[in-house]
Amino acid sequence: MKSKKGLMVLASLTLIAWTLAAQPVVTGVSMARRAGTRIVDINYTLSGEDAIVTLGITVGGVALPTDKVTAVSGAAGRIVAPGTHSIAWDTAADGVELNTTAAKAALSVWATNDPPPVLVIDMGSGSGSSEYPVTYYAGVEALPYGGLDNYIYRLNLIVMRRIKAGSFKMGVPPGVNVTLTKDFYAGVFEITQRQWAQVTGEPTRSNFLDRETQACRAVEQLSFNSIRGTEAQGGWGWPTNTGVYSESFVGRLRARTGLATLDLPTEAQWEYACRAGTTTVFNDGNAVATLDAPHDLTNQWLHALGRYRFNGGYVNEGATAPGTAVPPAYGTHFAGMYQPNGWGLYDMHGNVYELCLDWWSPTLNVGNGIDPTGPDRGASETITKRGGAYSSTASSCTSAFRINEGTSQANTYVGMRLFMTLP
Amino acid sequence: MMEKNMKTAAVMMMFTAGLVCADGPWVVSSADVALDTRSKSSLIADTDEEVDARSYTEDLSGFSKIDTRINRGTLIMFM
Repeated sequence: MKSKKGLMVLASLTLIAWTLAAQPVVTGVSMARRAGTRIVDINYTLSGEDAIVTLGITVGGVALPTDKVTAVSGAAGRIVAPGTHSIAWDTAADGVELNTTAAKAALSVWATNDPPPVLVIDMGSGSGSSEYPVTYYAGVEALPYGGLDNYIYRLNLIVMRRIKAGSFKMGVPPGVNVTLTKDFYAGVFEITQRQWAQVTGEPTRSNFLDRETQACRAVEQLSFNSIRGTEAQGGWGWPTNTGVYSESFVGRLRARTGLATLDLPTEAQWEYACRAGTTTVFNDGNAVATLDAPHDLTNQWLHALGRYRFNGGYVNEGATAPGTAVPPAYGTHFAGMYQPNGWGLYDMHGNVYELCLDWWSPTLNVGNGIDPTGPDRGASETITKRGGAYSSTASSCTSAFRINEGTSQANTYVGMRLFMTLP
Repeated sequence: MMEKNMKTAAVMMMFTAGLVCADGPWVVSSADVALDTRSKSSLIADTDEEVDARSYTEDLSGFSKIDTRINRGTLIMFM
């Protein structure tokens, strides 16, 4: 009997040892100011397996605000292999003046299959580049250059937020039960004109080209084929496979970042991300909002949530579509200037329709409700799109509204948002 | 004694389960260290240079029609 207990203890110890061996472990953390500068060097040793390390600083046991530890370079926020690494923190850039005897470097160690909440792709090296660096952050507050308010996150950088897996009611109430079993990242903003140009080298695809705001406006005139590739190029394999054309927008991003699951969202992922836990008409959770006439056209609750026909999308109080040479007040809107949803995603309502992966089905097709991928393509050549656009009336901009678009169509009201499913 | 062993094993199993099911990062800290990052203006007799390594260089030569200004204050917004 006694030996059985001993075996249990031994088994537990073995299990603990195995668990620790399979996890990244950081030891030997040290910190010191670099002589002659205001840069602080942090060294650490990683063992076990690859990991992502993010930096925090505590003084006297109290953590510095996250937005005061952003000017960080070196082995932080990216996947690093086991070994000894260094991080440099530029306190001058963050405006941090410490004079203490009790500072600590607090390193957060993230497994590569459980990465940090925010991801940024840097496309600053342009359309001819073979590599776009990817950096992870512990939160949007930790983003450098002043955070999301800086337009750089609508220009050369794409910022994405991690969305936790979960269940929700999809579609018009009462809706159908859908469960997403995998976390995913969703773009904080719709892809902008500049972001599209940085990857593809096409500077003027869009309709709205006013000099003042065009670079940060959502890119439009996108087709499914331009995003993933034509059927002949291998871009139509969904849901059988996730392959894309290597020179498509998604294909280039995958190759240059090493992020193999970058893609459009499934329709279920899109609505889950849009709703952010709400069950209401729009994603602000306001139960009073309604589409009863005349609110199906102009809608006071939608005004603050996104660009649509009656808050500047069309001219003449929603009567006339803007042409090519329009003032910046009309058409699409500068990304990320309306109220975000509860998960920090902007412009899920209006601005431009967002293409999904799912082939079109006139009624919701969620299969058994677990990680729906939509119908098989069959003979379909149309794709689902969601969210409404600057040209839409309110009833087309809801969390549940769905419609389709031809794979080669490239209308002035169709764009995209980047997603990435985690393993 | 046997009861104690049982408890020990149970605690270890719970600890292990916690490790396996852990969500989010582990946090590992350095020891307390002295740190003085004051600028020259407030640090008398310190000759340190201030270095701002945080910059973002843009090459916009290929995009003649694209606005190069990224400072919020310089862009005109219309709602």
